[in-house]
Amino acid sequence: MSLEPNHPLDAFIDGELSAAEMARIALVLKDDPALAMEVAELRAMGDRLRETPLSLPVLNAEANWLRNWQISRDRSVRRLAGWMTAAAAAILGITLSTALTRSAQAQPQLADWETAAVAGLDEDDTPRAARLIAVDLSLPVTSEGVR
Amino acid sequence: MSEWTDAQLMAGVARGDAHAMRELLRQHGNYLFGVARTLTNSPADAEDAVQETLTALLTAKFRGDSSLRTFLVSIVVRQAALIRRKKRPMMRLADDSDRPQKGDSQSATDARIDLAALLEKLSPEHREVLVLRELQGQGYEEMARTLGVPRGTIESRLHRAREALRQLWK
Repeated sequence: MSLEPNHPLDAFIDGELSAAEMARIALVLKDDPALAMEVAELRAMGDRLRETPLSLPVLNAEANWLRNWQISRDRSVRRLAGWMTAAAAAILGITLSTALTRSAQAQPQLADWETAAVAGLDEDDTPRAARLIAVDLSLPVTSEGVR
Repeated sequence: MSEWTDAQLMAGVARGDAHAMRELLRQHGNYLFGVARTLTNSPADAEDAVQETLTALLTAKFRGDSSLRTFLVSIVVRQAALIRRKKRPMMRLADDSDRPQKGDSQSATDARIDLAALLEKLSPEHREVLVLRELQGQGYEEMARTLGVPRGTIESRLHRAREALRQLWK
């Protein structure tokens, strides 16, 4: 039994294989000392990486980080306040505009006879005026006039 | 022992609480710098990566499905990548050891090999996967999410990273 030539041992070392696959590879390693040595080397590499100390920052790094973070924090609060003020102004503007528009639309429509009265009628237009009034008052109108 | 849980720390930081940030830095600041240093070209870039990470915490959402340290490392890895993309690669500065560092002693500086030095000859992508896998113990799926690449890419990068390291250490 052997591994495929390009089968990565990394997944085996990292525990990223199914239980069945892990067991299969473990069996292969038992019979393949060279491959087992490779696995051991890779594990040792990981151990060495974990044991190597990390770089340390300069002495005043933490104070700098904290101070700059506070500056960013305060800037974002001011920016948020600015946006909220602008949003409130926009809402107020839209609300006022809507209210004015509705107010204009709500003005009562003049009846035709009222328009005619304002515009003025000719002397011969008396029957017309009567018809307009009758229509407005929902009175029956015939060809001969208002009943 | 800290009185803050991970969730409390993050909630405090998100609120802008300086005490919470001070505690977060006490617990994780050095570690974040160390990780950032392995992934950037200079200590100054590493400091910037940590700074950008802390700023990001003002709006980041910590769901608690990983430890806070894992969450922070994921952000610092991305910030380090952004900084690398913005800047041209630099020669490793000789004055790295000129600035006073925490824990310095004569014997330590004589033979000081830190992880950044160990990994500096590797590509940034190889360093990223080694840091996430070997230091953070992240699984392949989590690494894929952190780096924004498919799982298959993680597997092949990790394999090549280990090969490259083996060649360096021979």
